[in-house]
Order: sequence, then C-alpha cells, then structure tokens
Amino acid sequence: MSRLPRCALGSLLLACCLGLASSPAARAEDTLEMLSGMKLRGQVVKESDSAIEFLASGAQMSFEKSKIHAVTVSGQRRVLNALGPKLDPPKPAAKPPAPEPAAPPKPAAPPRPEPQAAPAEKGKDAKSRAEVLALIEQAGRAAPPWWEQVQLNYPNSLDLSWPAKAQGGWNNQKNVGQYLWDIVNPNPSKWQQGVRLITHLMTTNSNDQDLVQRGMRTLGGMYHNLLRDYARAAFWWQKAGVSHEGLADCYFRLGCKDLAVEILNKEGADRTRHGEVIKLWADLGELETALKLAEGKAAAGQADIAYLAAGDACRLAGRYPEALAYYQKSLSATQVTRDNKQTKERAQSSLDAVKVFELLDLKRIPDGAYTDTSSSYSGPLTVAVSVQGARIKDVKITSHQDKQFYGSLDEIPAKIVEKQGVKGVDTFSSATITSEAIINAAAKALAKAMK
Amino acid sequence: MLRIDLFLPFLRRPKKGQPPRAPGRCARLARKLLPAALFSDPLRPRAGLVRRLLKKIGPVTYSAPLRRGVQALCFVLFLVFFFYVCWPYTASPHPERIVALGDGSVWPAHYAQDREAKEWGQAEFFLILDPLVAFSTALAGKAWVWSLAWAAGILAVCLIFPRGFCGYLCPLGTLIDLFDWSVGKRVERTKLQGDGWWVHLKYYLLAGILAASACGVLLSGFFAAIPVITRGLQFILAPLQMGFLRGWHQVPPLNAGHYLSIVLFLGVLGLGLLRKRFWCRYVCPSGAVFSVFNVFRAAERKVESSCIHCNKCVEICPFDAIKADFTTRTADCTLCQSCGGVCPTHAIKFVDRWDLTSLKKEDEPPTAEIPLDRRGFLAGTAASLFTVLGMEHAFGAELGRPGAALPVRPPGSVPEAQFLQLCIRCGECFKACPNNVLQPMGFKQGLEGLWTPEVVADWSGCESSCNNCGQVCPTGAIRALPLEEKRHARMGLAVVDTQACLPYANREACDLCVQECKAAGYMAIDYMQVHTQVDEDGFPVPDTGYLAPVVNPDLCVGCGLCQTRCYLVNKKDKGLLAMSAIVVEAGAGKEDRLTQGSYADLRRMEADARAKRQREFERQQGITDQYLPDFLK
Repeated sequence: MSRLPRCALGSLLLACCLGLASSPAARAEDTLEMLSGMKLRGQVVKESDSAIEFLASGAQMSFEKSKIHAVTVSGQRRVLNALGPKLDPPKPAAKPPAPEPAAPPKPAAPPRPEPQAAPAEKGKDAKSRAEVLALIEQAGRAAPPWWEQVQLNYPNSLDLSWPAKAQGGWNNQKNVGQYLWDIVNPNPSKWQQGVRLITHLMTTNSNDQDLVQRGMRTLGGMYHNLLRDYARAAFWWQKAGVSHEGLADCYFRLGCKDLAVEILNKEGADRTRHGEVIKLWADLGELETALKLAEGKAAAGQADIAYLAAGDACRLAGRYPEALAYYQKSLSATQVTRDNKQTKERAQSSLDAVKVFELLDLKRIPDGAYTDTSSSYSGPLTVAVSVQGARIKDVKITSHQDKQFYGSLDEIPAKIVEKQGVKGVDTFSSATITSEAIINAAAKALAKAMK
Repeated sequence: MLRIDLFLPFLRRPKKGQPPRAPGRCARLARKLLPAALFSDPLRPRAGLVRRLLKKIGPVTYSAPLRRGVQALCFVLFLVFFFYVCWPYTASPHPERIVALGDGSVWPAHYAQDREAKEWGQAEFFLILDPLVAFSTALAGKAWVWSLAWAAGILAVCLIFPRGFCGYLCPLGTLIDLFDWSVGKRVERTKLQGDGWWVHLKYYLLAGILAASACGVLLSGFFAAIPVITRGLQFILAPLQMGFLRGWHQVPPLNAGHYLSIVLFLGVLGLGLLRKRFWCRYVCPSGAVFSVFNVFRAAERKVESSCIHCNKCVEICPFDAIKADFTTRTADCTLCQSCGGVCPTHAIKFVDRWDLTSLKKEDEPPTAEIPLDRRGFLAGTAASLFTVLGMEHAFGAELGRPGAALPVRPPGSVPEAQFLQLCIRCGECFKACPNNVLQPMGFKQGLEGLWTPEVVADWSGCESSCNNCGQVCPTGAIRALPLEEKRHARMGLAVVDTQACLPYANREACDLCVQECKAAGYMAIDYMQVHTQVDEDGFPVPDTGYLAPVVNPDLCVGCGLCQTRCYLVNKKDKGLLAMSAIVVEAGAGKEDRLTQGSYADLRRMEADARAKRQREFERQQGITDQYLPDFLK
C-alpha cells in the first residue's frame, strides 16, 4: 500500500514536519475535558507540545493544550491544567496546527520511522519484567472499553467455519481472511468489528484447535497493527504461543526493553519482509546492532530493504548524512527483493525529505529566485522562493487554481520566511492541501537550488 | 388630523406675501448649535448653505430631501447586505468556531458563524419586504411562507405611506433613478409621447402572475422587483467582485439562463429610455400590489384651491401620479412629496384621506384618464394560463416522467415539486454560497427550473461548516437549518463509477474522495482492497492491488466534495478520466426532502433501527459472545 502516496515527498514531508506518528487508530473512545467545562468524546489523533488534534465524530480539530483540563487516552486520564480560577492571558488567535494529513491507513505496512524519542529512552516509563507481564495478563483478560458498544457485523454470506485455506476464487464476502484483508483492515471504523468477528468465530468453533490458534494469532496482529493496543496484542500472541518481533515491539512499547531484547536476540538475523527487526533495534536505541543486522540482511540478498531500514535507523538517531548514504545505497542496490519498486519509492522520498528538512543549508544556495510547482487542491500551484544572502527573503505564490484557501496563501509563505525553512511549518487548518502544496513546492525549489 | 410633511416644509422659502413662520423648537435649537451660514436668513430672502447645497444636487433632492436620503440609505443597505453580508469569504476556520452536536462531538462552523456575525439585519431583508414574493410563493406552494408576515407589515406601514415602498425603500427603484439620471435623461428621441393601454400593464401582469401561482406555477421571479435586481446584480456584478477579489478562476462559466436574466435586467433599466421610471410606473407587478392595496390607504395627497395650475408638480412627479387637473392618481402616488416641495403656493398637502377642507375643484382642466380594461386582465390571465399549460406539457420539469432531470438541490430543500413553486429565483443563495457550489440552472428542467439553484459538484462541494443558503432564502424553498440539522440533511448520494474509478479499473492508486470525505468529517467513504495478487498458496501478496472507495449510504449526505476533487484532479488537471468517477445523484431514496421535522432525528431513527435489527439477529442466532472465550477462563 506504499503505492498510495503518489507524491511521496509530500507524505514524508508531512511525517517530518508534523511529527506524525501513527494513523488514527480506532481505539477506545478518548475524551477531552476543556477548562471551559465542555467535554468532548472522540479520538486523540495527534499530540504536539502545544496542541492536541482531536477527532470527534463530526470533525477533526485542534485544541490548544492551555485550554484543556484533562485528556483521557485509552482509558488513561492525564490532567494538563488544573481547574479553578486561573488567569489565562488572552492569546492572539493562534493558528491551529494542521489536522492529520492525508495518509490512508496502512494496516498491513510496518510503521514508518518515527522521528520522535522512543518511549524507553525517556526512562520514566520503564517497567520491570514482572510489571509488564502482569499488565499484559490483567489487561488481556479484561474486555476493552469499547467492547459493549460494538456490534457483531459481517456479511451473511461469510463462511463462518473459516477454513485454513480459502476455497474457490477470491471472494471477500465469503472467505473470512479475504474479508479481513479487503474490507476490515483498510477501514479504521471496522477494526473493532473485525476483532469481534474473530472472537465470535473462536467462540463458535472452540473445538477446532487449529482455528482457535489462528484466531488468537490474528487477534494479536489486529490489536498490534490496527488498534495499537499493545497489552492485548501481547496477551493474544502469548496465548497463541508465538514469539516474534511483533511481541517484542509490544514489550518495548509497554515499557520493558529487556523482554524485547531477549526476543530479538533469540531471533538473530532480520528475516522479515520490511526489516521490522532492524527497525525495532533502532527504536530500542541500539543503532549499532540495527546497522549490523542491516549489513547482514544486505549480504543475504535483500540489500534494498536492508539499507532503507538502516537509513531510517540513522535518521531516527539524528545521523542525517549517514542516513542519506544508506538511502542512496538502497536506491542503487543490485540485489533486491520483490518489493523493490515500493522500497525505492520510499528510499527516494526519505532521501528528498532529509535533504530538504534536516539538511537544508541556506548558505549553499546562491542568491536568486527559485520556482517550483506542486499539485494542490484544484491543480498545479507554483511558488517562487527568493533567497538573498543565505536568507529566505520572501515566498510568493505565482499561480494557483484553488477556490478555498483561507489564509494559507499568506500565512504559509510568512511562516516559511519566519522559520527560514520548511521544517516545522504547520499547515493551515481546513486548507491543508493548499498549505501542503505551498510547503512542498517551496521545499522542492530550495532543494533544487542547493549547491 | 393627520399631516405628513416629509418634504420638510421648514426648509422651503416662505409663501410670498406671508410672514415667515416662527421656527419650531427643534429649529431654534439647531440654530443655536450649528453655524448660522447653514440657515436661510429669515429677514433677507437669501437661501442658507443647506438649501443651496440641496438645490445644487438636483430639483428632486431639493424638493424632497428626506425621501432622497431614505432612498440612498436603503440602496446602500441593500448593497451592503448583498456584497458584504452575503460574501462568505471573510470566514476562516478557527478552533473556537465550532458547534457542539447532540452526540457530544463538535463540528466546524466558521462559515455559518461568520455570516451570523455579519448579519445584524436579515441579508434577505428587501426580498422578504417585497409582498409579491410572499404572496405568489405562498399561493403557488399552497403553504404558509414566513415572509408573509413581513409583507403584511410593510402593507400596514403603507396604509400611512401609500406605495411608500416604491418611492422610498425599493433598491430597484433607486437604481432605475440612477440610470434615468445618468443615461435616460440624455436620450430624448426614444421618449414616448402620450399614454396608451400600457399604463395599466402592471395590473394585468399581476393578475396573470397570481393566476399562474394559483395553478402552481411561479412566474413572479421574472418580474417581481427585488428578485429582478438581486438576480441582476448576482449575474452582472457578483462575478466582477469574485474576479477582482478572489481570482478569475473562481468565476463559474455562464449558461443560457444567465444571459437571459442579464438581458431582462438590462431591459428593465432600458425602459427608462421610454420615460423615467417607466418600469416602476407601468410594469412592476410588485408595485401593483401596493397600488391595489392603496384602496385601504389612510393618507393621501390633496390639492387645495390655492393651486395656480403652474404644472410644476406634474413635471417633477416621478410616478406619473398627477392627473391633468393636478389632483392625485392615488394608486400611483408614492407619497414622495416632490410635488409638495415645488409647489409655489403651498397648495399641496399630505393628509388623511377624509380631510376635505378647502380642496381644489376636480376635473378642471378636464382629465382624460385611461380606464382599466377588462380585456387587459383577460389577456394577462390568458397569457399566464397559456404559460401554465406550456409548463405542464412542453417546457416544464415533468417530474413524473421517467428519466426526468433530477438536479441536486441545496441542503434542506423542500420536495422538488414544492421547491419549484417556492423558489423565487432571486439568486441570493448563489451569492451566499462559498465557492459557488450553487449555480443557477439553465433550461435543464425546461422553463420551470430556470435560475433555480443546483449543486454543481464538478465545480465545488458543499462546505460542512456552512448553512448560508437556507438562512438567506426568502421563501423557505431552502429551509433555514441550524448547522447540526444541515450536517445530517442528505442532498444526494455519492455513487462510484466502478468502471471508471482508477483503483477499480486497476489503473492506479487514488483515494482523493476518501480523504476529502474524511477531512470534511462525514467519514462516509470506506476503503475496499481490490485487485490483490495471490501467491501460489492462495494467500494475498502484501502491497499489491489498490484501495478503492466504497460509499456508505448511511453516512453520505451528498455534499459533493468527493466529486469536486475527483473532477478537478483526475479529469481537469491530469486528464485521466472523462468525468468524475464519483458523482452525487439526487432522487428518491438518495436525498431527504422534508417540509418539516428534523434530519438529525431521522438519522438517529435509522441508526436505532439498524442496531435493533442487529440485536434481533444476534438473539435469533443465540450469539452471546464474551470478550474472553470460555476455554480461556
């Protein structure tokens, strides 16, 4: 599904400037309690230092943290600002950070590199082995908070005996696996129903040991990949008796690095399709191990994937020149996997993004005006960036066809000038596509101009 | 008993031979506070600055300055409502510009709230004042139209100021005055000499319009004063406003309906070449409503016997309301009082109609009034009935016919047949609609649908935070929905063309429609994986195939944002498709056309029914799933 973002630079660019971590998981209902007393139910999509992106059944919008009393995510409540008489200095109407960018859910794809500090690095969340295992057992045996609200819902034509191998041709209305693949996995709104369906199948076919095993493995995968409920994912994987990098990831995210390292050490070399083991080592903060495994994987004939993963690992660790070198190696690899096309696209977009965002050096851009074009809402949008004395002097939109752009045409160029770059420029709410196009075109213009 | 001196007699030169009137209390105060140069010197016959200034502006302003002031004020007000209040582009999203929906979630509201903040008066104020708009739509739709109350209000005011609407308030009248002043008076050879049957044309037109309305066909949109000027400005000046302020790419292309309306509007102005305010005097059926209502007037213009037959009043009267004997054609007099201002002998007074003191003798010199003609009424009625028959059989919408055009209407539109009867075709909704989602229909539904608003989703989609169209609709053809109701009102259903849609056709990845729907907050388009490759064991190969859109009809409201994006990118920009692969369709089962009741409740009831069916199913199947299957307990 990595084919989806055609403008690969755009998607990575967003991943960078927004600190985008995950697609909106349809997890338990979150709540926001505002200082004003208003209480909102929905989902926390993203959280930055100053604001929370919140998706209520109607719409997604951004709330300044200073106006929020408490936020409850996956049942855990955090108080941000105490209630009570608090003199909040009136702030100028701050431009809200952009809503979650246009990226389709990628349930089957491995999580992208997250340019954020991994939880274990912070230290404070670290838990002991026993604590994590107890947490898994406790959470795993309790129903998730949404359980009662979600009804069983599946097509009547579905073959509930769920044979290990689907009979006949591809039919997503008959075969459970294909139904999950085609209909459930791509849609966050159907993930919880999917979990209920698998539970239903396990309950009704409890004599079929093979099916129950498959069900538990599937549940583990769904809780991990889709719902990001790591305790329950670990619970079901443990019950299914599997031990792999997915389970290690759960342990790590729940706060126990040791358990994760144990599994990864047992696994040894990375034999995964997308280099998940390498990625997890990088997440754990073990860059050297990750790079060593990557070299091993490359030697085993999967150089494109291996070097992409290595590049991501270096990028996560803030070692950008090395990341560039690895991406370059991934692109020029001769021993490639069957996923080479998508891998190359990813490597190229990461390469471009690192160049523009992390390594942008205005000193290497001669004075002059540079233009480039990007796809906006209704067609091409052209931006002219003028650089003078190693400073971005101004950014002008020279042509566009959009009808609805609000303040983005003025505000985004001003932000680029203010930040002297495209990194950290938020999009303009409700004109996200136009904003992205401006940032994108400016980034391309600057990247081209860099000597 | 009643004396209405709107021509401000205290500003006038005193009658010859009479001592100047003692100034009133206000005048005395004004003289104390304001510079003396403004005032006339009562001893020497010398006009003050005020009078000299008024004289410079023109004889009508000089004779009745108050009326000109009110006219100018109303005209400016009309323009402000039209060009500022109904200009949606001052809106900008903001975290606080939201509304809380019934389910505790929030919904963006910047367009709606922006209009509310600007709309300190009703944007459609002049439209609802036009009594013909209310009468004809109520009669055609056989329904209570809320603007009837306003129409009753203005008619009540016109008991005291007979036909005052035309002389003082009507922005079309003021615009015609401006045209006559700037163009009309310079062209002499087109002027009509003498009177004819056409002096009563407005009554015949009114009779015809009401007859057609009684048959359920609304013709008043063609002729009623305020719809005529609103539409005229919408089609001629609004595109200029859009072009200069927002960019010419945002001006939608014109269709045959536009051109017809522009020609008609220019025709209305052009009538001024025949005689000043020709439209208002002889043609305007909205004016005719006031004229008919003048039967009940309480006040009128009277001429005293001191009249010296100087003819000044006849010359200045803009409404041809003074007979040859200098008495009043009461049905035409708008009480503008210009005549009172020019009369050298102060013989003209504006008093209650029962005031009979020292009146001038009538029919001296003799008048030759053209009587109302029964044949005129018959012709007007016959012409309208002919049009009605034509609408029903040749140029109508023919809603019953299979394959009839079913345009996507604005959210909250009443059922189509009634919609056609209530929509006055004023064009106000087009003006208030951000990005011109609503555009005037041409002849797709024959003459019957001409200029009615249609959602053109190829051009733009309906903004989730906007409910402007219903709020500015003067007749209730589009219901004035609160944002929460509008969020649930289905105007159509998006339908994916699986032959053309890029992922379905196995051409390339594309999920513009899904992203658009999600960003708007409806989440009505799901994904489905298509064209997945299968390995030798029959298992799907990851990263093969595409995600294709599937519309969830329970959530889709037909806003058309998906269609806009597909059209703009895949058709217009990239040329991949011949038309948008996802198109909003109207019709039974695809849209809600309620005359009353809540759309949100409708959605809730549907959701409850679905949940109930599912519970019933689970009960029948004996399903009592626990989170933890028994074998793990």
